[in-house]
Amino acid sequence: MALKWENIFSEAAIKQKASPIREMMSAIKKPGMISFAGGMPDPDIFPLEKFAESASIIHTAGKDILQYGATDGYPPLKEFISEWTAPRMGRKTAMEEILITSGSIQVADLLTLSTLNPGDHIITESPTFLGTILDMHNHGADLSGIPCDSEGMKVDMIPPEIERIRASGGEVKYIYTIPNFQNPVGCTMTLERRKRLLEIAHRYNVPILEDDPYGYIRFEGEDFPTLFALDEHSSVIFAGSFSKILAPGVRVGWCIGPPEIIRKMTVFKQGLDTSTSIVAQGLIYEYCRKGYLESMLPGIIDHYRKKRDVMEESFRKFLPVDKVNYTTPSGGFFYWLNTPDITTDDLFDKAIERKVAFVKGHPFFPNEGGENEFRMCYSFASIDEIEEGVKRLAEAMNELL
Amino acid sequence: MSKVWEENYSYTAKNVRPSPIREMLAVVKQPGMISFAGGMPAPEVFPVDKFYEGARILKDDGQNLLQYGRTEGYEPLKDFLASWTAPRMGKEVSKDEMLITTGSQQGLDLFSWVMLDRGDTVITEDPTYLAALTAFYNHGANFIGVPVDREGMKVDLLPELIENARKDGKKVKFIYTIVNFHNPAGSTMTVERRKKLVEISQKYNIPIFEDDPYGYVRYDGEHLPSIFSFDKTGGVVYAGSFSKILSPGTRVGWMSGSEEIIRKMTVFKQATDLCSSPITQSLVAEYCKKGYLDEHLPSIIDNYRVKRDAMEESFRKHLEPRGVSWVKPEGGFFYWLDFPKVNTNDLFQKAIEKKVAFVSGGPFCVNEGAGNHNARFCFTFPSPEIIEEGVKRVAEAMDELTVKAEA
Repeated sequence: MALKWENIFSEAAIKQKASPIREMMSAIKKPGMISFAGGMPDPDIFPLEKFAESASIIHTAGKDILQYGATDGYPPLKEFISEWTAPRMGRKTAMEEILITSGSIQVADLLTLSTLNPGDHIITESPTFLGTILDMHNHGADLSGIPCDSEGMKVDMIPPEIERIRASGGEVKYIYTIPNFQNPVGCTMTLERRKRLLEIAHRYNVPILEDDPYGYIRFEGEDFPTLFALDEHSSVIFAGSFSKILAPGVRVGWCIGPPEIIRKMTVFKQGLDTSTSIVAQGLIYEYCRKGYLESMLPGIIDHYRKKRDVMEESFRKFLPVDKVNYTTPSGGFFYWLNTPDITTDDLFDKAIERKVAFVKGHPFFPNEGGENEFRMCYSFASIDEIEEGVKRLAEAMNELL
Repeated sequence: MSKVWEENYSYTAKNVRPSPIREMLAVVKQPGMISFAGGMPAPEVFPVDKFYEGARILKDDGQNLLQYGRTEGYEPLKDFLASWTAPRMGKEVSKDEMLITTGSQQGLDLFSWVMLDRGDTVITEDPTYLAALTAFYNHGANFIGVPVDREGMKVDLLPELIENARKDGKKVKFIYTIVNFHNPAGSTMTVERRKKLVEISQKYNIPIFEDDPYGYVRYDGEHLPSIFSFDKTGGVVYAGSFSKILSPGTRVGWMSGSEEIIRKMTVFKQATDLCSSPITQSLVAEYCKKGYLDEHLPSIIDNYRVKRDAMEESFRKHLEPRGVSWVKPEGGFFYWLDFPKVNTNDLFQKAIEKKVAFVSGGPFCVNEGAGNHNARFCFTFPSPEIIEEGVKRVAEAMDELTVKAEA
């Protein structure tokens, strides 16, 4: 008799939901499909030569990087991150404030382990990054979504939400925000709201996870100071990633925060994966040390700016203007579209028939919503594909109108 | 000082214990220290040049490798592993029966996600691998420890333990075992006990996590079939690792199991780290596909066998006369010693003064007070000469403790 797994699965395993994006991959890989779905970098701008060149560190420092390494990260890479992120962090951060993670998605997993008891609340933007929602659900979190507008998360809605939760005996463990070029909405939190958010966090004694995978991909305008830099109460953890500025295949991210919480997260990481690949960290370090991160970044930004412009131009050219709303993102990978007269369930099926894919809005919402919204990623498709794909999308829309 | 973090900690965070071994690293790094503490491979066995040769793939297939990869793992590596592990697994596992993990450590976390609710019970050997306890603890596990002898886990004790646990209302979710060259106990489970364990697992509907990081590092005797190969019901998951046969720095391991369970683990992996680095997976795959894994493994085994023999000899010379006993490991990295007359926490303090480090037994143990007369010695890292010197220092530390006790 076969073992009856279903009798002994955890609740998390029974309720488990697969990532709709990862699951869409097979549909998207059909020949002729143009995909605006996954938030993937364009492989054409991967710095293949320079990255391959950095592999020489295997030869020069192989005995170090093939060995077990410290859970908190490869020290030379941490030194580099401390220097390189100083302008954004407002200062050079100390080694005990930095933890290297297996992709920045691991930061949320570690922080949730460190703070959440099942049933506790996390406040997130609504909509927000799918992967994090899934992980938080796995941990038994109760998510409270706060809407966004063109100025980012509507932070003034947070205090009543916290009070409502506390009045019913619940606990809010942290606030999760993607302040720059938010995934999926594309909006950026204004300076005023950043300051306001910090005040709220302090008043209610709730820490903040500032997730910033897209922050360095800015097309125009000035950077706002990070929440981390503005914070005076050690209440912010900042999460960064090499996925968009170098390559997601390295699976290396980092977080910066008060030593106390970094330490806790490090101990949890011992149980999760011992450390992030030292080989991958060594390769990145070598690439960065030679100045390539710095020298390649402007080219990456130009490349994506051009694609964003082509997508916006194609929107104007093909989409029924009075039936679609969107805001131009000043960085990052995404447009977020709203079609009041069309449900995106219908649109998606029509679009797939026409061989163009996007991600429906609903899965990005921690609670309800997104039936008339969807995300379009412009980073992956080629310029020609963007134009053709938007044209197909417009045809699908017109068919439904 | 702001209490914003402390006041928001989870129960788990409030009670989490750092790994004593990882914490010891600072002590161990003192100049002149001889360390038998960490379970690290010897850097001289790393095949640096052959591994570096594979880096060409970063140029040749960079556009794929630098991109997000499939959560299930890099296909060429999975293909290699399916055939390479076939003799041990009793069959060539299919792609859907295998998941590449970020070190085999991640397998412990993912399996815990699938199985454990807070308060559930895991049965482990006592002593057992520390970071497995950490991984299970992160998921709120309680433990039942089963003693180990020279034939591995004393599986005959299991039925009564399980029945008593169930009577107490405990939910026993799985049995965790390190079958070959146990960490820290050094022993290997006999074929008879493997078969018996599978029977018990089926009878009580409790799956088995078979952890085998050391299995390919065997110094004498024949390889034994895996527990996985004896199971016909899909009740065993098997975890393998490149850490001991190639390099721990790659953080690449794998899990084999039934499609159903591999799929569940894969979906949890989507949310925890998306995928293991396709870059490091491809470097490992290149190395393996070129035949270097098989070609180089004998020299790793030879290197460690010499060291094990040196440690055995030093133990006979210095520790046996002092009443210490042990089981000679047929493979792996560790000796587990029994010091009937001294508390190994005290011995550790004395030993550190004399500049030699090991890990005392307590932290490996599940049952309260167990392991206080045991210690784990790792022999893979220091040279044979250093091993002899280190063991001599331990003997001196013992003498000083005994003299103190008698005085």
